Amino acid sequence: MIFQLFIINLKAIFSQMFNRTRFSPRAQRPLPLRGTAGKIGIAARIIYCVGAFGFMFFGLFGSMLDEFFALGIGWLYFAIDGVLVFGICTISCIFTAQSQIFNAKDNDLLLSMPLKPSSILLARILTLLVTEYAFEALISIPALLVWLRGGYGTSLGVVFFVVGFILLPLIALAVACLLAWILTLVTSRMRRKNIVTLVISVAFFAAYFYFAFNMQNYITRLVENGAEIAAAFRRVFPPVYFYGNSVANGAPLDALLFALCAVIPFALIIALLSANFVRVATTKRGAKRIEYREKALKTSTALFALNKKELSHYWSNPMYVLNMSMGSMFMVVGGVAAVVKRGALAELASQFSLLIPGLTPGILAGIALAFFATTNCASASLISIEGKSLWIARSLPVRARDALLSKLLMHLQIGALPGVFASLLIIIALSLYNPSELLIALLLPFLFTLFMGVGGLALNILLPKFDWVNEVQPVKQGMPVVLLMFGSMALLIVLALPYIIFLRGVLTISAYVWLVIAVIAALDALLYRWLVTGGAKRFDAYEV
Amino acid sequence: MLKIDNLTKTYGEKTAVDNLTLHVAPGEIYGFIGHNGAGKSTTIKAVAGLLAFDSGEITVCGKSVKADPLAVKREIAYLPDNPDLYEFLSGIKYLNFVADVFDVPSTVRQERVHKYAELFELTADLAQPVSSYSHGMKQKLALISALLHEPQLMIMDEPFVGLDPKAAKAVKDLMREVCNRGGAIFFSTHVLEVAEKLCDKVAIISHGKLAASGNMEDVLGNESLENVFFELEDSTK
Repeated sequence: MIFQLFIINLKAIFSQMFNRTRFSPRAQRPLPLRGTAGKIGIAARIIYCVGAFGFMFFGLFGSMLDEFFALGIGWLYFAIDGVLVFGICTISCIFTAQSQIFNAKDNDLLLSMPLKPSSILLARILTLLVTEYAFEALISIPALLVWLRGGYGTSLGVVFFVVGFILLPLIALAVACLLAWILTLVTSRMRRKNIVTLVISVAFFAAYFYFAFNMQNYITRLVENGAEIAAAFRRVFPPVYFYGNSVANGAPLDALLFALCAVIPFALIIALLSANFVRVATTKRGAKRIEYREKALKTSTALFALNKKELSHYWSNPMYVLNMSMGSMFMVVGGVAAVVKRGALAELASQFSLLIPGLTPGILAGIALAFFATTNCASASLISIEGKSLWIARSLPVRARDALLSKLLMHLQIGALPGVFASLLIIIALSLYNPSELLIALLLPFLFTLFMGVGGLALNILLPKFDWVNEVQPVKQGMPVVLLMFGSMALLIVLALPYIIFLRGVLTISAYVWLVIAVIAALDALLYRWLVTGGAKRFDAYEV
Repeated sequence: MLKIDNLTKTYGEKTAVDNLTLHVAPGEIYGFIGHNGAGKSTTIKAVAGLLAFDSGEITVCGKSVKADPLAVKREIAYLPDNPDLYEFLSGIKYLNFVADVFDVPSTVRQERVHKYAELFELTADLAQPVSSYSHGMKQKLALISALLHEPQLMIMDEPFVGLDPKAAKAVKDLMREVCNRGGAIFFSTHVLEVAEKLCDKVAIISHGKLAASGNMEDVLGNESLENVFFELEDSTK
């Protein structure tokens, strides 16, 4: 029974990830996306993710392999692999564990069936474990290949690597389940649980990015003080030392100790959760009830009411905020950093100007902020997230054009306002009083934000998906979001290449950026025109 | 008030509604009865402007659903069988949103929210998020939002599902109140006893076709609605 439940859970995950719809002009409604286009989209996405992560980890492990083995601390190489797997698998799994184990919508249904609670729990744990293995493969396979290519591999080491590969996610999963349980208990009675979750998530991401940006420094320090750090490592986090030593030096005793370190906590956590699963899954939760006190109701226009509704939806889900507004966060951080570290920014700009003559700080800031703007993909899921409540927008006397504009306005509020804020900070910090530079720093990010807004909405109109179970699905896994992400990257490359290849000697960088501004403005105008005419017509044709 | 003339709606090969004609006059409560999959919801959604149809014409207060859907939507209120509302809003914010869209003046919306929320005993819960509401509470909230702009025509798909007896009684009274001020009600139901007691007129739809329609007395004759329904069902098989 556990296996059957596990397969059902897996099918649900795959179906949510890969079942797509597209708007059919013939049927005048969204239909399932089948055939070559759908397969190409899925394949491109997988290749991109695997390629990007693989490239990053190949580089990382390649940079430390020889030094570590030359210093006689080869085990640290795999210990770092273990720490990365543990960290990424734990962070990525906490919220999934929370939603799939403790807050799963089908807990009541399954518990009413003649099934052991432990079977339901184990099936869910196994499903989580599969996703952990996928994350682990992205990190550990490059580590293995770099190690083998370097000529340090041994048969016993490979065997222990496989054992480690199987057991390492158990530690991460045990910790993630425990943290998810604590998080569920802590937030269950909170009224502002979304904000708490958002703050925790941002803290995780900030820690991750801090770590990622300083990775090279850490590696240098590891190489310089290898022996001392290795000893500290061994004391603080013994399981990864056992794992590292078992693979690098083919040590059977360490392999056994590692296996015990992985299996025993995992078994304890499973036993603890099994014993408490029914209580946790059926406890009626909810924030403290607040009684309504009548007060004057504020009025607004239909367009503004729709926009307020969009903003409320956006702020209601921390995953939505995190996934869709990373660029905005970077813009704000960048703007503040420009004020705090203005000297470093000016230095960076002068270094870049050696590569591209004429690249002033203002132009560089404009380009950087425009790049951040292209990572905000909120607009590409704004139609899909209407989901089953689409009937409201369709039955109210609201023009499709207004419904779409309210969504575009929301995208601009979360994308353009931080952009303008960051631009102004940079302008002040770097004293950019040259009108051309000043305008580039303001206009370029704004036009790219607008492009992401109209482009994302256009894609979502053509490829809507309303039959999701969890609204994170269209936001994180939606085809329009992926296409927008890829499309904007492709656009950046297409816009940059002509200058790099053959226009460098013909045009100044400033003149070329103005040309790019004109192109993006024209694209924005075209897409906007389609959105309020053809797009609105399609929106009106959705059958509820 | 509502005129459906020769309405036909197909889904691929399947004809969901086949040449349906019925008229609802002001002041009427019009019941729409049929088995599961008979075409009730399709008809109701077509009237509410949620579904495009292949042929025929639907007008509300003389305005065409096809030609001027926004004008029609201003005159009607639609209540689905399973109201999936905006879970991220509180009850009061949802009501205020709907009132904004219908441009209901501030004092008027305040009065109406107060009146209907008290009637359905929902006032205390209006600050709570919709996601914390039970099915019945969502149904009540959807009903209040439907009444905020005093619609001429209320189109309701199974309005009594999920309501407690007190709320169901309140809905019946409200339906009569809407009709008394010159409006009309067009609703579908599976509860034949309710239809028999409440409706001025009734239409029975079977396999997409109108099997019978008219005044309740004319359709029933000396039979109960249940008997008439099953006889018509058998004859159209």
